[in-house]
Amino acid sequence: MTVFSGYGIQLLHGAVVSVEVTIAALIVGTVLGIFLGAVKTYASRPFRYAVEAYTAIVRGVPDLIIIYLIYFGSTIALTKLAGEYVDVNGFMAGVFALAFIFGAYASDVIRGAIRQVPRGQTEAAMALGLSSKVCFIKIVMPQAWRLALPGFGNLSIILLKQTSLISVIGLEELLRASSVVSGATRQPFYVYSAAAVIYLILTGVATLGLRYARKRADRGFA
Amino acid sequence: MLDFQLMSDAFPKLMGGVGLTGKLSILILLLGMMLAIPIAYARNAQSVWLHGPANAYILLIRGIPSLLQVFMVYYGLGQLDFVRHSALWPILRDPFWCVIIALGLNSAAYTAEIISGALRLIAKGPVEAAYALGLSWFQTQRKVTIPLAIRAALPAYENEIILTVKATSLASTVTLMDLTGVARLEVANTYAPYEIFLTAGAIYFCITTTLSWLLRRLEQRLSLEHMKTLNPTPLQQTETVHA
Amino acid sequence: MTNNALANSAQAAGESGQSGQIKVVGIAKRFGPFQALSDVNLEIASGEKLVICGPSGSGKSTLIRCMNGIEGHDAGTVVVNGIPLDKVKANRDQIRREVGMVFQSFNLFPHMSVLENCLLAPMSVKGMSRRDAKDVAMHFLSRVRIAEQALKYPSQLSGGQQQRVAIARAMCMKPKILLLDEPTSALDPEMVKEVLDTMVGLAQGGMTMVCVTHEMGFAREVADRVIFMDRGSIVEEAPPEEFFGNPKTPRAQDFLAQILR
Ligand SMILES: Nc1ncnc2c1ncn2[C@@H]1O[C@H](COP(=O)(O)OP(=O)(O)OP(=O)(O)O)[C@@H](O)[C@H]1O
Ligand SMILES: [Mg+2]
Repeated sequence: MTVFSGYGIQLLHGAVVSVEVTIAALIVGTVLGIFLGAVKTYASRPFRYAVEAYTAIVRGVPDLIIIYLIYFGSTIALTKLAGEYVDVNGFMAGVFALAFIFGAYASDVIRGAIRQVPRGQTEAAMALGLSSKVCFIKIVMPQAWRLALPGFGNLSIILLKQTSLISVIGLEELLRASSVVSGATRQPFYVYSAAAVIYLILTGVATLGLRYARKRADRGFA
Repeated sequence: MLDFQLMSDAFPKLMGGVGLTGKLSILILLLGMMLAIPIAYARNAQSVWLHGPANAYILLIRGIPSLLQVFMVYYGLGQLDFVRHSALWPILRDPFWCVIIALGLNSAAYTAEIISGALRLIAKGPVEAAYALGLSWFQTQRKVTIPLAIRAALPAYENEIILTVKATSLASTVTLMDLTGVARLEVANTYAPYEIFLTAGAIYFCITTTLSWLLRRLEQRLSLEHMKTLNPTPLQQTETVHA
Repeated sequence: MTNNALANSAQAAGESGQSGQIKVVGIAKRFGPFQALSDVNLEIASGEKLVICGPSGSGKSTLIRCMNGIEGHDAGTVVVNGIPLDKVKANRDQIRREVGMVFQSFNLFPHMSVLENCLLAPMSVKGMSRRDAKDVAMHFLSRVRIAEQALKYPSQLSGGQQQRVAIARAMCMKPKILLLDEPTSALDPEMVKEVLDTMVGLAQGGMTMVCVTHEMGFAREVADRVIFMDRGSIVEEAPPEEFFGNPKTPRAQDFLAQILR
């Protein structure tokens, strides 16, 4: 196991990248999901259908294909824009692709949660003269958020695991780092097992964190 | 902007990969189901010796990315001497079977969750009535519990089927020429990633959409009106995606 | 004493401008194939206290909700405080500032404390500073005798307390008109009185009040007029003594016989 000492650092470094990608994609994807969820609930038909189509595509196409499309797509688009070859940052492309996927699923979670907020809440807000924007931000979302938390928790843990797919576009996150290390050490079984343990710890910590967040969010509610 | 000529040239080649995608999906789902049924019963059992390991298995699989599971089986096992010297080695060195084993084990965990959830959902009434009529445990399972559980599990299992079809695209990372594998090869040949992946994505989309439409029709046929009273709430989908 | 103080503040709210009137002319409302309101005409004078009653499903809530545009009407016109309630957003917003509403199910915002419930609209609709809004909120919260609970959350209060908070929340906007839709019918019997007392207090001011309720005692004490609805129309209207003592239409007689039992 002495072989691991130097490589262990490499794996941990990969794990840090995985966590960074997760957090960045979570932030971008959540904003996207809330926006699209609101569009699905409130917007007029053409907008709603456009977002429905986007969700259906993400649900119907493998994540790997979406990641490739966004990675190569943005490379080509940026190269055309710049007039010379642009090497797209794997981190950015990965975050963007995962957020694109996360946003689609999250929009359904948000829509479901918004629908669960009792109608009387919006009616009371309207009767008080609040604008629809204030009503959404101050009345609907804070309550919907609590209802969306379990679904979001699930999606976040899935997101953490999905970061492994980013390895195909060359970002050295945990899985890619393990592949590199197992190539160097010729001990793929042990290296991948170590990676599996790290993933289990990360998903375990995330699960506990989410449970705590849910408990907190439920305070004050009967 | 898109080169449609290139896309239509690539189309037949990509369709050549669909067969493998389909074969993988079916075998993975079969293996997953075979393993899932005993795991699901174990999970619902009273004894810690049964539900402990079942829960641990599900937790383990759910905590690890499926791509890593594929790598562990394909690259990892070959490192172990006893595996290389075993009778199973011809299977375990073949990426096709490795993907089926890895994703089948993975699917088993999610399917077991769906089935055990469905079994727990079955109302006590009909089961007790069956016992009262003198049916054995086995007969009760076969005639009452399982038919009801299938209907309860169907919506969630449909989702699992679609997810499995999508997950087979991971096979391309271990050299298999499924739809995604062919697409990657074509990209390397044509340097037109956008057109090729877009076409491949469209093919996947058609497959999954048609499949979910067919499954929904099946579900409608199975959910007879008079069943609703016995089984008022279908199983909630606990997990919408897995990776 | 408390009631008088409450009345004074309500009076202050009601006296600004000559408004406080509601004119409903020939409105109709359908939900799909179901005709919830048909050709309803009603004029409510400034400062009037009107009670609406009628059997379940007769359209009472629909009518009162058409008065601040929470429910849109399909035909006819509604004019509140001289402003037509139409598709023009500015008109609707103006009306909602001047018309308060209290719901059967309270509809307090569960994620906000009692005080925050009362601060929200004055601050974000009227643009009041937090300090001024807080003064107003504490004033009305103490008028409904719940000031000590200002920092609690709605779920920590009894039904009667919650409804009093809802009344205070509506009053914080200093409305010229207050709409109440069965404010006591979701309450346990022992809490009905505290809410009714609060409402009687409000009624002593000059504010226009429209209240859907079956509480005859309240109606007799404060109402200038009672209207009785059935199947989407106003069937009978009369001063409370006359309506309760000597209903004219058979449908009103049936209805009263039922609630008196
Ligand atoms: N949003 C809606 N969609 C469909 N139908 C509705 C809707 N709101 C009300 N209705 C119908 O309109 C009719 C009148 O409803 P409304 O709530 O005005 O009755 P109500 O007199 O207030 O009755 P209650 O005493 O039960 O509150 C009812 O039959 C109701 O079913
Ligand atoms: Mg009503």
